[in-house]
Amino acid sequence: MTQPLLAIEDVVVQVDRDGNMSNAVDGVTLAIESGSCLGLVGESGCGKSLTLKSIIGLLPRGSQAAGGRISFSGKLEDEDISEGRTLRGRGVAMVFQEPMSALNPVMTVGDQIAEGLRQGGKVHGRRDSRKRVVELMDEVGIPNPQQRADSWPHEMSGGMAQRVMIAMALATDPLLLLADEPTTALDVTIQDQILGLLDDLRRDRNLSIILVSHDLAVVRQVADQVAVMYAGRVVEIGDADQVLLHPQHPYTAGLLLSTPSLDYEGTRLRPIEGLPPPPDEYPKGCRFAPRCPHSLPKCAEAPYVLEEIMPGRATACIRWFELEVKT
Amino acid sequence: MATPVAEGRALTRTRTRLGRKVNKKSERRAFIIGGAIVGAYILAALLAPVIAPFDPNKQDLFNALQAPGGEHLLGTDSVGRDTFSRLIYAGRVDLPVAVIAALLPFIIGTVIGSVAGYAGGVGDSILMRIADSVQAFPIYVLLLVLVFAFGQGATSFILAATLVSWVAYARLIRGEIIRAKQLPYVMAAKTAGLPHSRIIVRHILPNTIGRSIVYAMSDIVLLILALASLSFLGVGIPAPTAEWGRMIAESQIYLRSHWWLLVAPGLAIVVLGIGLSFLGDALDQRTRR
Amino acid sequence: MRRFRFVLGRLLQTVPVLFVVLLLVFALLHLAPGDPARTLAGLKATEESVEAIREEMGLNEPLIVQYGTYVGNVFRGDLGESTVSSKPVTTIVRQRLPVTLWLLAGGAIVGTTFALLLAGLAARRPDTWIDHIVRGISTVGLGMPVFWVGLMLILLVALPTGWFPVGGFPDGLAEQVRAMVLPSLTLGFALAPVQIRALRSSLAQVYDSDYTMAARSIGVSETRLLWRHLLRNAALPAVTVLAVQMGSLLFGAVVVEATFALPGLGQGLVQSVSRRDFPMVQGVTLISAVLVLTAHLLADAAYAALDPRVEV
Repeated sequence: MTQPLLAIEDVVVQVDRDGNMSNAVDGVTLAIESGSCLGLVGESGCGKSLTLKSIIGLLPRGSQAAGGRISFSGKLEDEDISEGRTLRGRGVAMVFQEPMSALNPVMTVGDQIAEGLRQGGKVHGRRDSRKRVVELMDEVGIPNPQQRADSWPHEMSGGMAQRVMIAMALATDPLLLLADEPTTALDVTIQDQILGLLDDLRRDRNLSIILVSHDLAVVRQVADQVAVMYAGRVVEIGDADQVLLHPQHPYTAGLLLSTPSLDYEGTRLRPIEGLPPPPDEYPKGCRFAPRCPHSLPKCAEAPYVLEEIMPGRATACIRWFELEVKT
Repeated sequence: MATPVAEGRALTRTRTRLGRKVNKKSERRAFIIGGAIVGAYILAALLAPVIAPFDPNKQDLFNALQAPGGEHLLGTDSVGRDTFSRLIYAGRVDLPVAVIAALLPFIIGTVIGSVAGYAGGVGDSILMRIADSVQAFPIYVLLLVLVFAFGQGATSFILAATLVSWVAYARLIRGEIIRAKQLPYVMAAKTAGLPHSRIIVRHILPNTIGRSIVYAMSDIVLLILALASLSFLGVGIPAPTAEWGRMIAESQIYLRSHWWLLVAPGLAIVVLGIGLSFLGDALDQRTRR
Repeated sequence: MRRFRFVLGRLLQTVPVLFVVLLLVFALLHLAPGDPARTLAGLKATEESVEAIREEMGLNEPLIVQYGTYVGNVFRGDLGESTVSSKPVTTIVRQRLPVTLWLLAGGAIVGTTFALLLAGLAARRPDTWIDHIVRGISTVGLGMPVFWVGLMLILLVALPTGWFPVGGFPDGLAEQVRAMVLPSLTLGFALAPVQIRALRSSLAQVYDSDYTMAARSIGVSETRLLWRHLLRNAALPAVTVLAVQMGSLLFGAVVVEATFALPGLGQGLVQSVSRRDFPMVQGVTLISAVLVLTAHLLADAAYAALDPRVEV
């Protein structure tokens, strides 16, 4: 394997739960290469969004990066993750879940995109900045960019606002785009357009994307690689097709079975029993064991090891070789 | 169950939980501090004849303008009255006047506001127009003018405060009632055929009155300040009654030489104000939950 | 253009309120006990001379006629004559208004600046010691009588240092500025607690918003974030609070003028109240109401300028 663009190792993010700090993200290791798209999936509360935010140093109040190393091609070499803020505007940008609330209501969209340009430092003067803003808006498929640059966020639809958000991120000339549920708040048809746009940008700009989503269908559409997270840990990782067609962890299988609109026509939807545990109640051993239909007593004692079962493919299930996980 | 909810929600949840915990602690602290201060003032006012070492209005020109310490704990004023005793007796004026001046508009405003909000229609619109005009007035200047119109004294002050501030309560409660009318339990009571007055009093008011009480608490602070200010201006409580603002006004010319005469009553107001604010904050946080 | 029409519309809406205000000012003083004619005539006046004055002042006309005359006079710029000094009320107002406007502007600037600094500090780090201190300051400040703050400033600043006069309003711009420092500080302290509360909670909300996170994500520096991105959002409630507080601010000005012996409108009002000078009280009350209405209008205009979402 070549040197990855971004690598994070053993990232721990703590959240405050009633005065006690507990590890909501508990030792996550990920890597992404230039021009590829990594999908990060899991139920809500599994820590996927916290992992993403720790990369760019934007953890919400009441949470903190407590450990982990980060490397970013040419910018950071194996540094402590709490230094993540240095990556902001310097090769990493982010797209958010709610485009309408992620845009400042009292700044025109053009001005907000221009703020991103400022960080690159390659733009000089008002006219140059304006020209680049219009080009960026055109690139993300906003019609009449000349006029739309002077619009206020409240004059835009959700899909258009998300395009503005993406343009704002692109303005910083990023190598890596972090997309946190970028389509969840949008209509289905708009979802497809935005995903298409992200895919185009990846190809045209050789942009790497980490796409966080709870929606396997969304991930499948654009991701080359998939990492499945459960209770603060990566439980399975590998090529998207491999993981989504032949899961090697009962949790991945459970997610697939409970997701409609994939290609498993005729199979009934079967939700996973129970609820994911909150960070202060993570069980010992395999954290999925209490909900797992295949769990054995030894699962509750099993140490967490992400075992590489073939090149680029790993699972944390100790029974992966004996289980024929049906999907 | 694998119904994926937006990740963001989970984060907001931990965040609010964090905030709430801190609030709970500070709420209790605010409540204790505020309660202790206000309680002490009420007690001192009630027990004034017992606590006060001197007659608050007894003049003693031979012992005028004495410094604090000695026989007179906080010294004496220009006609030899004991400052400490006057401070304590002043609580018997400022406290009840401010409380009544807050309570009266609270009651009147609540009644008018609930009827208007519940009934709606023409009466409601007229009421709101009146409210608009009263609120367009610079209220405390109006207070000054009303005291002018009705003459000096506690009654005028209470009357003026009532005329001015019932509007705020009427607005508050009307808004809450209009919102509450849409709630299922009120709808249910209505379909069950309960009389209107009963619906308002038993079902709506208990759930909507919290914000008005909080407002009244902060209003008492402002009223005490306003009463002191009017007395300072010479149009509030007439002499020789002991009143904090008036005590400051009477001693203003001694600022250079006998500053304690101004500092003591000022601190009396400030400390009471802090106590009431703390109580109000604690109540505010409680009703918000 | 749309903004202009919006402000014009608001201007028209205030006209009826102005009439009600006129009615209230008129009613207040005519229905109140006490006879202005007798006050004017003096204690030893005969019944006939009182009656003559009453006739001259039009007090024998029906109330509705008196109101009509009053409104007519007001619109012709005639607020009557002071019964004490026999000067036209408008002349007195013109002399005294600048002092009050100076004071109001000074107080608003001091109070808002002070509040912005403290609220900005507190909102950045909610629930930390700095936040608790700022909230403590606003709680204590809220309970402080304006006149007492003024007296304490005289005691602790003016008297020991001698930098500022303890009262009065001298001639000459430099001297006037010096004379206004402490009064402006006093009025500012009275305004700041309310402003701090409003600004702290709105700034905290703004700092917690998704668009703050988005701006940070593209590398906007914290300083630029505050000044270029967030101040405008947070300024909206400050403007509203300032407008809503205009009434209290005016009363504060009345008290501060009395504390520092400034010859402004407020001092004029207090003197007229104790001398039962009807036309003056009426005139000054009316001017105060107009000031408040103007403040509300300005606030609306500022809101429309600051917030693109305002329904125009």
